[in-house]
Amino acid sequence: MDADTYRRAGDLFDAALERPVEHRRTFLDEACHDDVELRREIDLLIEHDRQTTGMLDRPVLFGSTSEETADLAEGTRLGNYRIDRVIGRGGMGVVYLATRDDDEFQREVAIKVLASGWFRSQDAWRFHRERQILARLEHPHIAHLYDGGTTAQGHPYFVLEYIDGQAITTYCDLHRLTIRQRLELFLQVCAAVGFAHRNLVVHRDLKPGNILVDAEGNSKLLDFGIAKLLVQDPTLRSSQATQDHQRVLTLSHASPEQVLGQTVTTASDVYCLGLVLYELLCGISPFADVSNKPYELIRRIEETEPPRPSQTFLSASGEAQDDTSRTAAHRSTSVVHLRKALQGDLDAIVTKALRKEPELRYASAAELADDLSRHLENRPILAGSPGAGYRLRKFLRRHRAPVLVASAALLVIVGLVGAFIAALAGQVEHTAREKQKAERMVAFLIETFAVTNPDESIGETVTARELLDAGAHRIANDLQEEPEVQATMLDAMGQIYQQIGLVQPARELLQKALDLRLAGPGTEPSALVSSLTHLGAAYAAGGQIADAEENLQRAVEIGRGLSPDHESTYAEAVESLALLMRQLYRYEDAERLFLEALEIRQEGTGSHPPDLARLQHDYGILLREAGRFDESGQLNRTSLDIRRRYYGDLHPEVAASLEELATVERFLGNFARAEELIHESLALRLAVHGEHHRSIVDVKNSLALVLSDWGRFEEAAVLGREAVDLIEQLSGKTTEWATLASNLAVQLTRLHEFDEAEALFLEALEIRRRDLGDRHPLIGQTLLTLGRLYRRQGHLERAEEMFTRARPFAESLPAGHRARSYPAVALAHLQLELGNGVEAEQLLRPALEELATSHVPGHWRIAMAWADLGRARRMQGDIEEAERHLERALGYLEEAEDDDPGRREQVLSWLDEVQRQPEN
Amino acid sequence: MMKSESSREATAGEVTDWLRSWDCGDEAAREVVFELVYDELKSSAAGLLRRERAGHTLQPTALVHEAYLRMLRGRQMGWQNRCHFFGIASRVMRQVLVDHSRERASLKRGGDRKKVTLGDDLEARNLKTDELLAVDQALTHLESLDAQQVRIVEARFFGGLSVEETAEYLSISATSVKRHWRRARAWLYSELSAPRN
Repeated sequence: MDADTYRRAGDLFDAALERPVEHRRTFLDEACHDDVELRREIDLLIEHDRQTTGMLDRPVLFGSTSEETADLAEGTRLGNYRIDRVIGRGGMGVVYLATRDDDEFQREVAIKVLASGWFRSQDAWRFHRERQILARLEHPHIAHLYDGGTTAQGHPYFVLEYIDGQAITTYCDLHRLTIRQRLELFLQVCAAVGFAHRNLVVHRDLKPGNILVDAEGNSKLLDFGIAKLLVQDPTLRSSQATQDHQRVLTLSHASPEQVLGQTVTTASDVYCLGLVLYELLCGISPFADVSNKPYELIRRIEETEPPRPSQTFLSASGEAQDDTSRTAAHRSTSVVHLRKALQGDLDAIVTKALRKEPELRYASAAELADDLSRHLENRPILAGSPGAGYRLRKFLRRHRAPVLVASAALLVIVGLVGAFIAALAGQVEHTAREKQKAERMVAFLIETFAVTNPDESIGETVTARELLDAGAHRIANDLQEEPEVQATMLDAMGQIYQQIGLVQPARELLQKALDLRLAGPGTEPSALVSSLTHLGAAYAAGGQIADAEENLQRAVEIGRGLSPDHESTYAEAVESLALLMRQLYRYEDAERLFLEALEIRQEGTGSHPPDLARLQHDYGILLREAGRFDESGQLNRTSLDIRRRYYGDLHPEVAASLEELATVERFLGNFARAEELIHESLALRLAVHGEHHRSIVDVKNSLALVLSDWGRFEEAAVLGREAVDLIEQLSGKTTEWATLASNLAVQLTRLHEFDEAEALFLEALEIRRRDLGDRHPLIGQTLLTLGRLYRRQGHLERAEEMFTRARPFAESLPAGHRARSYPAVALAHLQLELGNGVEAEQLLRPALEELATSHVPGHWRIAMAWADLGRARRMQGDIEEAERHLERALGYLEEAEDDDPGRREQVLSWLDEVQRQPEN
Repeated sequence: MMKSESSREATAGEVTDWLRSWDCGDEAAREVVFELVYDELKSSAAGLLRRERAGHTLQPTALVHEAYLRMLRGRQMGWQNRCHFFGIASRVMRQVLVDHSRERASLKRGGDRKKVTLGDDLEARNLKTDELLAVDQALTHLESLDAQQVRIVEARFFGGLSVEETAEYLSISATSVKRHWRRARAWLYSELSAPRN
């Protein structure tokens, strides 16, 4: 057939189709005469025109899972579950109803089997980890994720709570829920999303189909966090991957930033909630008219403000009018009433949730819910006055630091004041004079801090700091007649200041308390010991080591002579001195003191379980630092048990134990276990303190370190940055800031963000010099990490200088400290890059011995050192030994449970080189 | 078919300029734009192949999506230019998918196992390698009968463009897109069920 025939066939095909079926044959008989080829062509076209479900009818680009995917047969077993039947199909895969039938209890579950395109095999470990995190996301309005795995065909699957329900929009229409009822139901959804956000899980694919409502009217969110498990866009440079660049699952329910490939945050979920709310209110999605036109849809999502909900009922006529009447009927109201109900508040709330710019939306699902509640209670909404919320947020951003300090500090203060009151009230049993004193103090505290109800008092004018300062001022002025009470109060205030990181005023108050007690004729020796201990600890926190040691040594000396009634005070002094010794890496002294304190706390009468737990915790840290991981782990678990028994599961001290256990696991190379523990602790911390608390910094930092060790640098850097930002907001650029900043810089180095990393290192170095002096081992650590940066940048000479300077610092560390050999190892690595095999080997042999005493066998640092020794041997022509060392390194890495594949690849490629290159 | 050796990087600005010339009636600009986008996508794919380790699969749609973002992100681009861009991208999609399917077909015959393979988008949509190759072959045949219909099929099938977008891309009316799409579709289905010769 030629082009001409094809064109004629096409024209006649069009013409034939315009005619009624029964006339076509006659028409074509006439038109074609005896041109058989032409006629056959047209007949074929007409015949195949009827095919409507062929593969050409769905574009490749936005294609979804086809119905023809081989289904799992009834009775197929997946883990402990048996497949019953297919209950749904979606873009991601097929959903089955299944039954758990392995033991006494039967349970119906939904199993979602993903199409293979959603998954990359090397993500298996990540998939596993994330799934465990999601499995812990337990909330009455979130469908629980029980389990998961991979089918025999290699398709990943999830086992989910089976919800017998309908999509929220369908349910609302079917039950003709009023606007108010819909909003109340929607608030459940917001609560579930808010809960997940507090646990750092973003849904990413919120849409009516993922929100089911059961027969009792309870909403359940499906597929939480699953979107994140699906394939990440592989075209990104690693440094861009921090932007969380991911595939959009449901374009019609994607946020502008998802479409643009920008950072996906909780604000994206707020946007998607806005879309769901829109549909619940108006009965139609703002993009319904273009849902089948992907590019037009993208443009609309990016650029076009959707009509306000009430506007969708404005200009309806004809067919559209029927639609709007039906929509109103589904809401048990009339079009006019519906429009009125939507005008104003609800228009404003939806518009605010659907802003293109994430920062202009509600900051969280909770805020959205809050505004909806305000509407339901007829209170003024935040989105109501145009731009008010926005201006407020602007203001808060401008004044971020003080406001945050205020709220974080406030929590601490309220907690501490409560604790002090409880402690003082406990003294009531003592003598009448003490009783009077205690009551006086309780009254004073309550009076001073009566306004600290966080909901009421703290506006823009009074910060917690001002409140504290006012309290300190009152103590100084009003209690002059009662020096004993005054000293006790100053001591208490000093501890509060120290707890919230205000070291300087803390020290001043504690010094004043000590002075008063020293001057007072009737001062109890135990009060003196307390004061000395607290002041010493405050000096230690501020890095003034000499003053710290002096005060603490005196506290211990005096404390030794205290009567058994006060042995707890003595133990506290000993413990504080032990902590200082640990901080100074004087491990033998520290251990002796810890053991002494432990003896008192364990044997002593009236020993307080939390005190014992804290002591075990602190001693555990020493053991861990000294490389005695098993002992440390054991002690930590004991401490955790005591804390759980005493406080229950939801307490900061429990979180602290979990974090320390995680650190031990990290050093043991059990990254997955460590990550799990930290997530547990983080959830707990968030529940107890909220997001802007000092402790969140530590948790995020711990997690970042685990991820960093695991080779997950992008994720680590995100967390590291959050930790750095938060600590800076909370307490400025302190020694702690320096620690966190240099951790972040290490991660940035690995991501090749050299400039920023270097700037952070240098600033951290300066702060450490300022606070810790020039000889502190942490100075050496900064030099080491800075050297690694220069090496990666290719500035080998500068790197060498840094490593060389770092060596004496490291060697001043006690035996068994893990960092002792790091500069030598780094220097050896550098020598290899310079081609100096002999020098490298000389450094590596002793370093390997050192590593063996401070790291668990097969640790990746040991593996990498063996690998380098292998390379050093190769440079000297000893192929056989080189191969042996590299194989050994590879063996270690492969045995490790939670290995960073990057390291293995690296060693593999070296091994490859050795095996390929002939001797020369 | 298309040259891909060019190592120069197509900047977003460059593409936009060419798209403008095309808007102004410069037909030669169409091929230039095609090559720029093609190079961009190809180099993006090559980058992936370098970076990704053995045994992984890549997503073809990610390529187009990424190219779109890289070239057009943050840029105020009119509807016309978008349509042109996506029209071109749809041709490139065909090319990339077909290249990949061929490679995969040869893999099945026992090629280099370690090679990175391009995506499972196809499987997610249940379009098998051989089906895709058959569509490509049929389109090559159709090219000799009606090249414009091939462009329409590429835009609709490989690019997911709507009728209106396709019309804009090819500077023809929506009615003619519909008409030719229907013809081409019917012809392709018949060709796929029993290839003519």
